[in-house]
Amino acid sequence: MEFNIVAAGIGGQGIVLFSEVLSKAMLAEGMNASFYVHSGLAQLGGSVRSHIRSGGRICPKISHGCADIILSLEMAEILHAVPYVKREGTVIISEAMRIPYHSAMDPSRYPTKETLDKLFQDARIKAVFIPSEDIARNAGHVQTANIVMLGALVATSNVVETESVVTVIGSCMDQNAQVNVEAFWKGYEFITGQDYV
Amino acid sequence: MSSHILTDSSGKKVIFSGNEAVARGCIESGVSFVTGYPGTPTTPVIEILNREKAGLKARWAINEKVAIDTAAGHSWAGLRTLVTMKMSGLNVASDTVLSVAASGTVGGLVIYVGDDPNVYYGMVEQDSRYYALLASAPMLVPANPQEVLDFTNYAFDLSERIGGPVFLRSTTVLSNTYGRVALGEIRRLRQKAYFTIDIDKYTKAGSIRCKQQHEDALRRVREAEDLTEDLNILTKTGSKVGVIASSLAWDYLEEVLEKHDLDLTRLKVSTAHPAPRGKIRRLLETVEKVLVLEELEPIIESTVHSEVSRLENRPLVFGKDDGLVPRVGDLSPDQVREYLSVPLGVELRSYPAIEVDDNIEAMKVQRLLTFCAGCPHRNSYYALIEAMKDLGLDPGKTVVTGDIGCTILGMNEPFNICWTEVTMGNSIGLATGFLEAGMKKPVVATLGDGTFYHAAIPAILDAVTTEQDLPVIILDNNWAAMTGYQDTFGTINGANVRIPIEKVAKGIGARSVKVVNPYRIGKTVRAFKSVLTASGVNVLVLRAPCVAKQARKWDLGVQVNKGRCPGFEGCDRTCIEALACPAIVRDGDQVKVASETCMSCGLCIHYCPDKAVQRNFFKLKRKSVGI
Repeated sequence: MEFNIVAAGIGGQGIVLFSEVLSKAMLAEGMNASFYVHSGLAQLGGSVRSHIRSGGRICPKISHGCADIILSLEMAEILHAVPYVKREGTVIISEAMRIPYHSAMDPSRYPTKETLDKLFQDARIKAVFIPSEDIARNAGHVQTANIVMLGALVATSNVVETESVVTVIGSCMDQNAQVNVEAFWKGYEFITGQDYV
Repeated sequence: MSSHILTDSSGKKVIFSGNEAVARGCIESGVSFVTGYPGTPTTPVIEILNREKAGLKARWAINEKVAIDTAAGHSWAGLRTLVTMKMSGLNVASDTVLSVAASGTVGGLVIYVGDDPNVYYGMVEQDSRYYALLASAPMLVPANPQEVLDFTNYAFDLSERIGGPVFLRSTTVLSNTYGRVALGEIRRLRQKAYFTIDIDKYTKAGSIRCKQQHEDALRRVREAEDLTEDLNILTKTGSKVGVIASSLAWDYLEEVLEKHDLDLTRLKVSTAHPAPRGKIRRLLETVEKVLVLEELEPIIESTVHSEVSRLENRPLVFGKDDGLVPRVGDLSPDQVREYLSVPLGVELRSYPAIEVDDNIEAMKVQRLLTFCAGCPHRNSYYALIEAMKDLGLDPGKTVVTGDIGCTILGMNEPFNICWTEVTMGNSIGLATGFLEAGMKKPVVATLGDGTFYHAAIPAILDAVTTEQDLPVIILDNNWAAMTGYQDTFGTINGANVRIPIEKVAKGIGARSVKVVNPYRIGKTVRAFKSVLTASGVNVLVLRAPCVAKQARKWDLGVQVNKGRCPGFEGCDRTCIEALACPAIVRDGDQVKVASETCMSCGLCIHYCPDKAVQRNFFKLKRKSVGI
């Protein structure tokens, strides 16, 4: 079955690793999987987007209105993903903020959480906000906020089994696997509201 | 991610990017030598092969021309060779590319070039497929990561079958697409270098030889047309509308056809040159309308038009010529659906998006491309502007030429100091031109260490020998940083023998050469004032390693004294506005230093007119080094 995710963020937040872990977990479950990273000069704090797809025949880019989930690792970046979400889709937003130059001088040039929440409410679509960096700090390192968001995504969608993700994290991140697995479960339980064993 | 590249066996399915697929292809094909120059989107190939210690020689060249020169040497010695570059690099290499394509090759020679339709990274939006026509050499254009691997392997075989170089062309989107790839077998070739004298082939001495080489190149293209026939796939369904599509446009077309349950006559073009004329003709004979889908220029389409002109019943061609498909930008499945609706005469349904405020475009946050926190270049440009003010020069009216790489970010706010960005090393020659044209002095040239070695040295020689008064400012951060910290020839403890910039600059006759640490603001301002007023070509090297490459071990406790900071209301020009440092963030009406980001460079301490930013040595502590 086709499943499409558009993830947005900015350079340095780990969107490639996020996409890699997810698509490798999909592949391990026998699905076709691909992701395409739209980055530009992201190393310097620019916007990054990733189109993650599983299912039958897949081209790199997701069509507008075809994403089952849109997700952002940085709050305002979700705006770039809006055209892609299906009417019955899900929106997952990190509360992490990276305030750029012009917005720092003029705070009205950065949307508030309330504005974003209302935007999706008016469109009759559910937006979930996740304090991913706080959760990541608790899990052991703020840089695992991307994997916290992956945990939230898996809990929301069941697109892959949790065991597959944990196995992929173990195989592709040697010394940091433990802190990332912890971050994954913290993000997962933030959605399910259940402690894991 | 690329741990599979070396070891994994044939048949295993992995997730590979287009670039990883090229690297794997080099290993499967038994390649001996890979060289090139960093340039997005093709950079990762050499990075991966080096990181994986792939058992073949992979190294960066000083520039793309030297890369293809060296690659040709390996090929003529009978060894399989791949050379990588971005489209702009192919322009630099083109002189040798055309000459080698005329001479032909011995060991398989594949030129992997990455185009950037839609300009995700900057530089001219050009279509490198024209080089295949210009050089009379075949070009393969894969459509997905699996094809990138398959075509890389095929390209080496094709190159050796016809005896000439073969282009492999990717695009930014394809190179950055990670998809499922089934690996092939690793072939181990036992190759030993040999070279036989053959003046007719390896020199350009005389009209007869050169015309014969032209004939030979054209013959190789004709051979390639027969050999590659099976790569171009014609599906005839009897539909009145046909589609011809190439590279990613084919992928998008397949998705649209499947979603809309359409089964049209279609041709997948995998060879940008030579175009599959026979199959194009066979498609045209069965349809009334044909849509041609390709990114950038109408190259396949021009062959379609020429084949249409030979027919009695001429189908109507839809594409770039009639303005339906744009020549600017790249394509997407949404665009392909829209364009396909035109010849079909029915609007193919789009998918219902959510209804949101029309204002959403205005809500998107503009992200200024600026220097990283603690970047030495920020200090350098800050000091340049200070020096100009001290000398009574208007920074807004003094011409400063810029160059490629991180240094060009001086063109953006808040510095707005670099006026031009053209090509690698161009800043010197352009500044010389401005001076000779009679522009008011000083005209200042700025460039990075990477561009200095790549193409600036002959231009500096030119400025010296024509006696210009030119300050040359080299911002040396020890690596080609923007493309991912490749070593230059000035990198300390790098992969190459180090020839420092100052040694080269003295050797080519600069009147004075000075090396200054840009974190020492006062000293840097004084050095600028001296070169801006001197006569002759004077080189100022501002040397400090790229901060993003260094692990931070110490937090020097830079913090804002809230009692002294007058805040946004009270400050003439806040540090946020003046420096655009990502580590200085707004805190209510005042500012604070984000300790997770701050690199303790001290520029804000130097800048703050109210002396509100201070070091707190009691806060000195060991940083948790990034994971």
